[in-house]
Amino acid sequence: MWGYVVRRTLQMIPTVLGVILITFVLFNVVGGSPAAMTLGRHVSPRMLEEFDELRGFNKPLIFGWWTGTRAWDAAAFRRGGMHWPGAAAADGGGQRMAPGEYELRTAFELLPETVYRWDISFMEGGGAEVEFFCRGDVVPAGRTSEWRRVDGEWRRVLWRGGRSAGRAKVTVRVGAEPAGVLAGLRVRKASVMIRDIRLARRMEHPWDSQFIFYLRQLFPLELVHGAGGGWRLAWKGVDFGVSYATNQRVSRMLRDGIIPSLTLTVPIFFIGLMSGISLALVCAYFRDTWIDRFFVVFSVALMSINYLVWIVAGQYLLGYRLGWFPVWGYESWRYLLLPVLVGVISGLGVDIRFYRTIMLDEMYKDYVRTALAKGVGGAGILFRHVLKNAMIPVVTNTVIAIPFLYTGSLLLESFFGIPGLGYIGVNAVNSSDVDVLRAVVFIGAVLYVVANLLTDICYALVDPRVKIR
Amino acid sequence: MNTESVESLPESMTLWQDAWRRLRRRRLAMVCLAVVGLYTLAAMYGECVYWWYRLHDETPPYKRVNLAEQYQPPSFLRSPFGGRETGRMSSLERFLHGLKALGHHPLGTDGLGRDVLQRVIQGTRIAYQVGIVTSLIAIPIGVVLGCLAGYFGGRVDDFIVWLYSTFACIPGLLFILAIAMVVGKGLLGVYLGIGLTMWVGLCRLIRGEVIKHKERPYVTAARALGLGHFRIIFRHILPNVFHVVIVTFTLRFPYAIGTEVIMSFLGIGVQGEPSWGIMISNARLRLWHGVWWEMAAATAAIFGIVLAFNLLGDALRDALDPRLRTGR
Amino acid sequence: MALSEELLRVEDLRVYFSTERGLVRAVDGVGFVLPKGATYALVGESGCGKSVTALALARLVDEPPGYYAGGRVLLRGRNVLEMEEGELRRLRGNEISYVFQEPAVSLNPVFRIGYQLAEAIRLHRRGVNVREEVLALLKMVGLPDAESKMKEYPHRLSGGMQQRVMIAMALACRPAVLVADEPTTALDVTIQAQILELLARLQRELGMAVLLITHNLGLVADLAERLLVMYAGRIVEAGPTLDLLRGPRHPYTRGLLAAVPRLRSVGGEVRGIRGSVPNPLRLPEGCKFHPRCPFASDICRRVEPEDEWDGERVVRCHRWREI
Ligand SMILES: Nc1ncnc2c1ncn2[C@@H]1O[C@H](COP(=O)(O)OP(=O)(O)OP(=O)(O)O)[C@@H](O)[C@H]1O
Ligand SMILES: [Mg+2]
Repeated sequence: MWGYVVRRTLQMIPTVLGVILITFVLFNVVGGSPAAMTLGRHVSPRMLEEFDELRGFNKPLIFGWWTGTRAWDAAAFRRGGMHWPGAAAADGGGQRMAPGEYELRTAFELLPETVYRWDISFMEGGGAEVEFFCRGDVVPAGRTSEWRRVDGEWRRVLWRGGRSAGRAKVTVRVGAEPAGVLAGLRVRKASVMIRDIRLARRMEHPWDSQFIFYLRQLFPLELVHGAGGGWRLAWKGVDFGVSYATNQRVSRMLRDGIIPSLTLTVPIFFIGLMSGISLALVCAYFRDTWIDRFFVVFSVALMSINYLVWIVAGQYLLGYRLGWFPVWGYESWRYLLLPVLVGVISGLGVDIRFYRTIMLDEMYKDYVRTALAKGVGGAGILFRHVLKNAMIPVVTNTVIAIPFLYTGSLLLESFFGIPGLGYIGVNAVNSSDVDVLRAVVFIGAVLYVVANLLTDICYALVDPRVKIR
Repeated sequence: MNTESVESLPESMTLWQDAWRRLRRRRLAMVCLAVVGLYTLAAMYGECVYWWYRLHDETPPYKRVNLAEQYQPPSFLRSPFGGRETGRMSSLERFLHGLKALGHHPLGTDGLGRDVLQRVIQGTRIAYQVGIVTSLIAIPIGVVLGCLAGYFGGRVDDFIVWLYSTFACIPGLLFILAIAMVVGKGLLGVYLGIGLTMWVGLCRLIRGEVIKHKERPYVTAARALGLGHFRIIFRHILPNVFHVVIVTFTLRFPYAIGTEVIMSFLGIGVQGEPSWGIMISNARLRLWHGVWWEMAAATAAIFGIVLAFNLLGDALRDALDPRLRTGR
Repeated sequence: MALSEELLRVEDLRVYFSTERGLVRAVDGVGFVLPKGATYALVGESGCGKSVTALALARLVDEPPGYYAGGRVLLRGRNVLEMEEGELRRLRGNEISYVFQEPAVSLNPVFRIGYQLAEAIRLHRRGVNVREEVLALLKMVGLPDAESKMKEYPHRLSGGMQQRVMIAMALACRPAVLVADEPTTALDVTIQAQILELLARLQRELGMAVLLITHNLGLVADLAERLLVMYAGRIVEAGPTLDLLRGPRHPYTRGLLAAVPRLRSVGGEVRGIRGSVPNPLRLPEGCKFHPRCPFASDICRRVEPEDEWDGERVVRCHRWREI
């Protein structure tokens, strides 16, 4: 048995990796940094950068040496909105720069002891010559032979105009004092058209990427340098980052959300299970009579009513009109009555149908005929022979339904003001709170995987025919 | 205990004809089909109205604010054939006047004086769009991946099974909300969110069916003739498993509609168009003031289409796939 | 045999099924008398209604889709088809019990063997030591190592052992009638012989009446004293086994016998019956066998034949004297 459990647990690994991959693709690759969306338009680039830094969004996606920085707004020329004294307005997708000196002023000071790369692409140039210069605590990196040191600044000619377009890259290393660092372009002889100027930051290590950052957040162990000099693994726990909206650690928010969620979903789960199975048994007992037929139609009708309608109607009729239940909040058990009722009723249709199908499938098996031929009565057949066999699919499907409670409660919690995981999730969607949402999605998926494992174990426990080796 | 199988049907009848024959005998299924037809007509009418006003660059009536006619109850509750102003009319005049009154905002108006019936029809249009577009996303993915996995087996199968079991792990509604959030609010998010999660069930079913059919003699024969893999899959096997697609489509359509309603209600779905979810969301607050008809209209519209599709899907499954029969 | 006491009398039994595709007259006018302690065999092609007849004896046919359209089943003079639920329950497993075709699915997979046997005993017998009784039963059917087998689940036993358990269960209350519906079809040939032997031995020891249903005419010669041949829901011929095997009268019985490969007649050709089993939804007019009968004449096509008695033998054929 233990061997089986271990084997099944190992089989979970690819799926969990898959979940990690999908959440990563969804939130990091497709979504990208939500900084501008969450913080709003009129916020300083430094704050955006800090937002990204905290969440690892300022790293390359999976692998790479270079990453962008918000210190320089790369797309500025194309949009034509950049304010650059001395330069003509952007036209034809580029910026015309008359001869003169232009500072490439960054939005905030660059990081100390870091390599940066300016990447400038020119449109056709006429006879212009463009020189790059930088001063302050900064030295050239890469091919240094083309650099000259003049007047306390480093200079390098980037571009001698020609008919065709071209691009140039300069790499510099910022020293320990980034405060005084300044870079710029000097245009001589004629004006030049520049298509864009980008600034990239070089990573210490190409694997220092968003993906690895995410993995390291999720992986509960960490390699630390021990006092004795060797490396050892230390427990750091799973970390989901920091919520933007509440500025709390996500793991802490989730921990606080679990109890309210459980107080809501556990009663829904058990009451729903009991009523579903009992009604299905009623159907099976009265099969082919009007009672059974009524429940079949009834359950399809229940299934067809939207979840929202249950919530709205419950709040309006039972909560507001009749005043039986409080409508919003989480103060005493009375606040849970209505959401639990709504949760149970909205799931009842599916449950009845499902359990009824299972029961009826069993009712027509051969062993039932054998039991009848022995002289077992209707109730004995149903409650002893059929029920015990039906428990196999019931148990497995019940365990698999556990994670869905988590989603089911999503709407309930947010509309009844119960501060559980679902409430947190919906709020996160509304405020584009990526870390929270990603954590909620991830945990939901992991719960499902675990439930799958439990299902298989339960299956092995309940069904004597399953061979575990 | 039904010993009759599809194979033993009279040869003149194809599987589809037989299914249709069986379906036609069920009165309930036929009623559902009629209901679905009605909704489809409403959706098409809604589409026409939408484009007409869009091309003429006018505000369509379902968006036109008319505060003078705010909160009118449905016309049949406004005693169309009685009332004060009809006192001096002849009975024929009164009747005609009543008919006209009956046709004026038949389902009442909402808080901004917009016609509820028109809005419900627009909601139908959006619901159909969502159902169709999500199916157009989900069905090709599900069918292609399912066929490939089932037919080729081995590594391909492992990969696809891994892919869909990973997708299946992620809690549905949350996943949809996440996709919609990443893509941005609006219909596109709804389409992608629902479409990209809905293919999983179909893929699993198709894979199972294809595995079953792979060993059938007709496939072996096709292979012996030297036909290419893709020809065998898509020309020979797929038509035989296509009923799975039909049934899944019918059962998933209402699911897509319901999810769109929830998303729009939460404010990350349709923007600026009268979807059913938006209507419910608006009507929720007005309900507290006794304005129930907007709520009732949207709710009833959703209930009707979802119920019709659910029942139709069950009937179709029974008719098309005798092996999947549930009760008797 | 004529002197022996009458135990079970079936008169004009009709069991129909109303299905989606129409009415199936699975059993349509079956009648026979089973005396105490006798072994009868019921043979016929697949789908001719043997199992339905057997089930009807304890009113076990699924209702719906099935229903009893007529006739009586008298067990010791009481009509089974009109019994109340409680009375019926006391009858089943107690006075009449069954061994079904496929033991693998006929045993409940989630209960231990011991429990399933004990249930049969507890339902009908008071004041016995159930455990001992179960052990005794298992020993009686020749199951080795009964103690440990009791605690096993059905799927852990081989097919032959499962069938022994089924037999033990059927015999738990020493029934007066045992109905064995193709008890050996699902088993290996070697095991088949063992099971039949076991049935024969138990029948002798316990003195019950046995109705043995089978496809296999070869098997019944030694076991059954009387043979009932069924076709399309009717018994078309019945008589003492040896007489019937030696001189079949109904063309269908002849066909059946001709289809049995016999070791003795090496080189003798094996002939089957022309055509196939008729569609139960569309049975022909007149004699149900006429489309396949080589001797069919005009009357066969129009008029359904009645039972004709001749000593201990009955036959339903217009022309049996001529052919
Ligand atoms: N539950 C049922 N519903 C509908 N028809 C049935 C049912 N049970 C039996 N029948 C029909 O009754 C007829 C007789 O079936 P029955 O099982 O008695 O045949 P059989 O002689 O036992 O065949 P076999 O040798 O294959 O066991 C068949 O045509 C079958 O289709
Ligand atoms: Mg049978």
